[in-house]
Amino acid sequence: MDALLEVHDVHLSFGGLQALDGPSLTVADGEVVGLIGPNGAGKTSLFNCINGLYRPQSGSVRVLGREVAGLPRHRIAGLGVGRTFQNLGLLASQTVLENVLAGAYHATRGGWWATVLDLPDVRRTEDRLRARALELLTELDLADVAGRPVGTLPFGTLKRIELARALVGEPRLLLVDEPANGLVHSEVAELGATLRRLATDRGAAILLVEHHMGLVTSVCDRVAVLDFGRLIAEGDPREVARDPQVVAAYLGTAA
Amino acid sequence: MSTTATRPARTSGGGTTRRGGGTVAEWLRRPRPPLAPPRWLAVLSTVGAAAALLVVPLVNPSYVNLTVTLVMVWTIVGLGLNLLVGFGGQVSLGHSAFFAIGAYAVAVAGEAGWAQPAALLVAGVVPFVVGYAIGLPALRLHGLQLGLVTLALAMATPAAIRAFEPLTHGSRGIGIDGTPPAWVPLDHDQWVYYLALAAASLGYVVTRRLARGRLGRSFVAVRDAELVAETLGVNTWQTKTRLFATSAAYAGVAGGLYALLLEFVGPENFNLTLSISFVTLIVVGGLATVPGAVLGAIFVQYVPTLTSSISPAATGATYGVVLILFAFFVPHGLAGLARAALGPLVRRVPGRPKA
Ligand SMILES: Nc1ncnc2c1ncn2[C@@H]1O[C@H](COP(=O)(O)OP(=O)(O)OP(=O)(O)O)[C@@H](O)[C@H]1O
Ligand SMILES: [Mg+2]
Repeated sequence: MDALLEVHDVHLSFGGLQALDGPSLTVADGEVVGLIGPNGAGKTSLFNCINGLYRPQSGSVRVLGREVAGLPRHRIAGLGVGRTFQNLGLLASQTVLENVLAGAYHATRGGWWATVLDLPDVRRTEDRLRARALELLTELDLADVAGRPVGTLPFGTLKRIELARALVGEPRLLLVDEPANGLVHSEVAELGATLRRLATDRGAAILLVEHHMGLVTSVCDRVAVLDFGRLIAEGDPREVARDPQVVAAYLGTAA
Repeated sequence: MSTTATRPARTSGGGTTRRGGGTVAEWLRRPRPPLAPPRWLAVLSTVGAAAALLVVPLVNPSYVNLTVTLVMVWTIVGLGLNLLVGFGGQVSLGHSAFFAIGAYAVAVAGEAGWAQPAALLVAGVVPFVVGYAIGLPALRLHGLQLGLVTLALAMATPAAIRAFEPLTHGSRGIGIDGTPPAWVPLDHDQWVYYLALAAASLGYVVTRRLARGRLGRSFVAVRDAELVAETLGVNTWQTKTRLFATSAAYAGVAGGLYALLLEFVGPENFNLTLSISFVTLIVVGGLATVPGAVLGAIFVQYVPTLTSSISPAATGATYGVVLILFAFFVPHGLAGLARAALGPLVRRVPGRPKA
């Protein structure tokens, strides 16, 4: 099995604060890996290093064998990296459908000339994309709100819209940051099933940041635990949850 | 890090219906989707408008043709500028500079004996190249800084024209022969009218195609959430530079037509007020709408003329007051109002495709 994502000894600091202190991690095709840890552990920062929003001071991040550290951000999406944001990154002025369509940018073609000349290929791609987006919205129970501006919708719905946007680009590697936040119980179960299907049927590699341990244990093949930017445990979800160091890390912040 | 969309849910219905009450101000601010007429109605209104526009110069005195041509000239500027500012979210107060470059390109090409259509092509190409070169560094800047740099561009234009004396003849300006070629049985005003109509129609179609679909979505993504756009695969810098250059080309062609129409260019034609009127045009017409360029062009052509008949100093004041009113109360401009007024009618027309 080839690792789709290889993170090796990544260091990232903000001034004196060491946000990432050398974690290493791999995610293979078809694998769902949970990334957990207390607040401020560096989970979102690691995501930002993978899709280029932050540039680590040292270490390497490889996607499909390509080092992403030197790549411009938009090229990283082109490698097949999809992402949802912890605090949302939707286009506030646009409708749900338009937001989802935007997610296919890197996966579709149609440059300036082709668009100006309105080549048949551009039209066909757009038609197919719209059909696919509506399909996804139906799958994620969002079809009713497809035409609504996103500004008017509740947080949990927005999280699912972001997931739909990431999925429409058919990512090889999907980074999901707290997708269950704001979802009700039944929606969490559906979300778990969606992620699992994506990994099993499409062979996508998924890295899941989540505080909802039920979701983590039910969908993840493996779990990695971050604490103060360091990887403190890795392995089977259930075993990791019992690891004394992990328990201490969580208790430490809870106290 | 990125913009968020976490406003609390409102109880009112989907953006188009007027349910759940709300004040007039709220009604004015509500975003509305473009009108989506059924195909037969779209074809019919396009054919109707085309027929009317083709007949206008044949049945009207030349001063009417002149003003309608000016509306088309402003429309072309507005179409391009709205791509950059309305869709792409990059402010420019400097497009009078590109308008001037286009005008002088036609004047200089005319002196060199070039055919007018070829001169108009140059009037588009040169500002495109200049716009690209300026955009490369300038579009690294954001918001206020970009506004200031482009403002400086507009302010420097008349002086720059005078400084390039050998090419531009400085303050004396350049006279242009706008008469049609011998094989065209039209008067000057009719000929320039048709040139402008051709350019505006082409510009309209091109803008519509760019503004929708994959590219249009990438422009809006750059505007609404630049970092998110990059994670979606949009090369934001390239997108911005291309938008800047393209909008400069639109302004240049418009400037070229303006020069042919007036048959004269001089530095005083291209001052800051011109740039301000371009910005007013797209704000009043409706940011990020395509038909808004036409509505805004009609506004900047006719309304200041009306107000200046009251007082010659009124033009600037009109722009100021109208800009403020629209920015606060009618953020979607005249096009937004047209959508609000016509939307319910269009939706009742039979034969409309299911969305
Ligand atoms: N842009 C930034 N500037 C300064 N400090 C930052 C920045 N981004 C993250 N940090 C810091 O880095 C540390 C890790 O933050 P990060 O957001 O990665 O944590 P997290 O594991 O995602 O936490 P949570 O579970 O709360 O989302 C925190 O101390 C945070 O304050
Ligand atoms: Mg986080």
